[in-house]
Amino acid sequence: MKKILVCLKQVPNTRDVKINPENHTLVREGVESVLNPFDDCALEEALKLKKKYGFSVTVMTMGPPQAEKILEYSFRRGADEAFLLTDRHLAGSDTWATATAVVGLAKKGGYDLLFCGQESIDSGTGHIGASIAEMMNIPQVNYAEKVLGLHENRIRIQAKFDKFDAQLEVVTPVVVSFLKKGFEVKLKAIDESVISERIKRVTLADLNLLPEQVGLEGSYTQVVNIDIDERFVGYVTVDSNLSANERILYITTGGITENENKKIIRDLSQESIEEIASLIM
Amino acid sequence: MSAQKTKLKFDRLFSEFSIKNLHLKNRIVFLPHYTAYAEVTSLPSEEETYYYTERAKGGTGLIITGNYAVSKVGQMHRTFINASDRRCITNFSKTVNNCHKYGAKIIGQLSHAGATKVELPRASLYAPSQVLEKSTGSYTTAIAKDEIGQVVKEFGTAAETLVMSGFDGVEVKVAHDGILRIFVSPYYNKRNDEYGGSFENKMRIIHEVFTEIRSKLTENMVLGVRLSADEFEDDGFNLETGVQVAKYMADNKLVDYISCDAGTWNTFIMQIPPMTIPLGFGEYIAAAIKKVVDIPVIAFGRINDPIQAEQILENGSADLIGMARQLLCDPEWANKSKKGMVDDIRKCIGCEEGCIGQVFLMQPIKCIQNPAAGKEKKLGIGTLKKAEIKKKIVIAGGGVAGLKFAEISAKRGHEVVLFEKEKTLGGQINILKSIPFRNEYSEVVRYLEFILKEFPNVTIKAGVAANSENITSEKPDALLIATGAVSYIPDTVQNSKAVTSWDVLENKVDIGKSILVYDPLSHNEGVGIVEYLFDTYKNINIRYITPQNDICANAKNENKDILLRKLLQEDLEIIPYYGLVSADDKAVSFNKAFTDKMMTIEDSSFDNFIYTGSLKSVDDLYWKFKEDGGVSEVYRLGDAKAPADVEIAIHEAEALARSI
Repeated sequence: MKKILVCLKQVPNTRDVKINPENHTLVREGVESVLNPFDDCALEEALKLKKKYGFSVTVMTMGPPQAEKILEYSFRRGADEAFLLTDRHLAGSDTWATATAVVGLAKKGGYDLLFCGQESIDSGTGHIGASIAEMMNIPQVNYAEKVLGLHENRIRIQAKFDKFDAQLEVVTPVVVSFLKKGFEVKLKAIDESVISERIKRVTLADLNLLPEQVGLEGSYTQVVNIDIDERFVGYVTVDSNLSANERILYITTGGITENENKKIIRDLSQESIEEIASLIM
Repeated sequence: MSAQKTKLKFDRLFSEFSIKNLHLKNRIVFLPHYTAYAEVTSLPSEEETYYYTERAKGGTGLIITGNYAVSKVGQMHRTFINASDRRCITNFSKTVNNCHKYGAKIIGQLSHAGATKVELPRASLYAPSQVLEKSTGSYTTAIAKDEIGQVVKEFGTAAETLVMSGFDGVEVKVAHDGILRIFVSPYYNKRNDEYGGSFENKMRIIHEVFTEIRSKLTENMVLGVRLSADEFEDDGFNLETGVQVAKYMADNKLVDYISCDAGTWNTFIMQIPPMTIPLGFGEYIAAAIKKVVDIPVIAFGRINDPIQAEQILENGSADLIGMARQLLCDPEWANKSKKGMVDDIRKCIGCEEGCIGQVFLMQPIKCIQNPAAGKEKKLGIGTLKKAEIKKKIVIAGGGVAGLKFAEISAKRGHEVVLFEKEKTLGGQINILKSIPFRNEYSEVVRYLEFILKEFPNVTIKAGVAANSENITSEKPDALLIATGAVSYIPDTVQNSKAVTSWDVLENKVDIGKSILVYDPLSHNEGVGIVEYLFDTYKNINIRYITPQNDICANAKNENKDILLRKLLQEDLEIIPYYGLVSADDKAVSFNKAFTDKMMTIEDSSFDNFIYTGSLKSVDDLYWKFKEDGGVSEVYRLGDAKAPADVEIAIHEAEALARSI
């Protein structure tokens, strides 16, 4: 049985991004956090493999204790095991330091497949998957859309690039970074009373990492300044240059074009509320 | 769902605010609309006073009444109040005093019908130029300069009535109907004189009207505008012009606030957005105007939730939250929101059946969910009293009728036991909601189900079908049969491909490529199933046959626009005037109305035959208890009485439950 590790990140809801003017880092206090939608797609792909081949799915995230929320959600989605990498020395880690910590954990488990989101909605660097692969000296596939198939130690992946789609075959172990797409979230009924206990909490010491390898000290990049893009508003804006019919169509679809595979949820029934909650989780 | 209560605080929504010197206790505004409550003499009625007072009682900060005509010619119909008549002052003053008593401020809205009238025939449609008024297919009268002067004076005279009645301000409509917006519109205004051509010229009448009104107002009164910022018509103006108008009015100090609006009578779905239009769609319009003006802006557009309202204020898109239909549906929205009781709010679903669907028939405005709307004196806040004799009431059926009956009975202190054969309450709403954009109908059930959970005297037995044994063993004093209806295929149809629309919606049918839909009613169900099929299956074609004159011929006018806007894009052939004669496994035959002409469709030419819109009551238990006795009071409601709309079920349930 092969083992999959899915790397998850808790991100602030981009609707209310606030930046600490002193150190130019994200203010996470008082801001609702959600699972990075790219990572959710990586998790979805992993769970599909679990269903098809019976693989085990382990999820991990790095962050404060509140990040448990996304691990609990992963259990409800069907993950088997979850690690929370939490240590005060990790604060301020850039992508290099973050990848260092993830690799520390990944090496312990001997995973065949390491799945990540292509990027996160709060920083969008796209560094993590690539860095993990380089540090571990294993192959990587970026901009993955889905896993097409698997044969012994070879995995076939469909990836989407600017001008073409590619079907790539690589040898495991491999790091695959997935793009964001729409899918139906299915939650499983599980024993909620022990859900928190199932999360395995690990610190730097458990991974044989030194404090200076991570955090601000272990980071190469420093954010000097961030400007908020004013286009980030919590509502659909309509382009006045569109024809009247197109403007109306744009409004009726909530700004979603036919090519986007998103679901519009309109009512306030309990089912829908739960569905929305699971989507923004 | 557990009955846990969500307690939320809406700091922005309940912060105080001032429009010029007009102090408001919160940010909630009841937007002006046509109520058709006027008396035959076009004077304000008692109903109107009670209607607005109810919203003030419910905690609304600002009430804007309307749409008052400035003259007889300026009336869209006689059911519009003619504010030039000084006899209005008596009832206007009562309304104003009542609203003030409950801490609300009140502004009166004035308009001149111009090219938009609902009376028939549509005489004297005044417009800047002579054009075809597209929504009604009538030609307009190009207004002369002296007539413009007359209209300006009429606005002043009508404003005086509002001043004398004690209103806190006046609002003028440059909105979806009336004469002023169409002076800005490139379609209507093709004049070459000082009222047409340049932007300043097009704005001249607006400038004159607002200046005239301002001269009549006392110093503390505010003057505002309801502004349609995007006509959503190809030959109309768009948001760029709308924003320009707003900026012009603010910069020239013509107004103290701007209340946003969109659409025209040709783009009715933007004017009064149905449930197809997403909640809060108009926020970007308010935000665009807010960016260029330094006076308060009122947001609009399917706002029905305090969380959504708070978010709009937090986004800085507007200063005030405007709602009309939501406060029609639940006048206590503000008080409930203030207490954080968000789940207790009965939310407007944008069905347009009771409100706009009624007033366009020149009937008093009402609400399918709120029987008290327009009947506040009889059914409004504080009128529901505990029953003198406490009874045990058994209800068979947890659809809309049964649930509403249970709510009122529970509030009156009766002991209620409700049987529902399905595990989920709601009856046919659960089938209906799978049609695209009909999801919000489930709010009707959500609300009732939530309220019932608060009552210890209510027992709901979901998943248990009522029968004579379990009803009898409850020993009820009163029994309500609300067991709904079933869809069926009449005996004339012997085609083995024939299924009902319920079968399709419940996923019991394999759908092929070519589909025949027969709809004897041409009501909401037939058009709904067609919409559902196109939305669910790709590359299908549908032949829709009806003895009526069109698809959705008997649906409310206000919803047709959006339905046809979607359906006419599809591979749909509409065959009107044909009634079904017979159907077997060889062919289906139809007869053309008033003729001997027949049309035969071979069985091989279609994959599915959907017979839609035929329902019959499930009323066995009613007849059993009615005839055999055993329970002293036996009643029936909803589709068990006769298949009909949600409105009938709810309104009859309220009336009946109040009488027991």
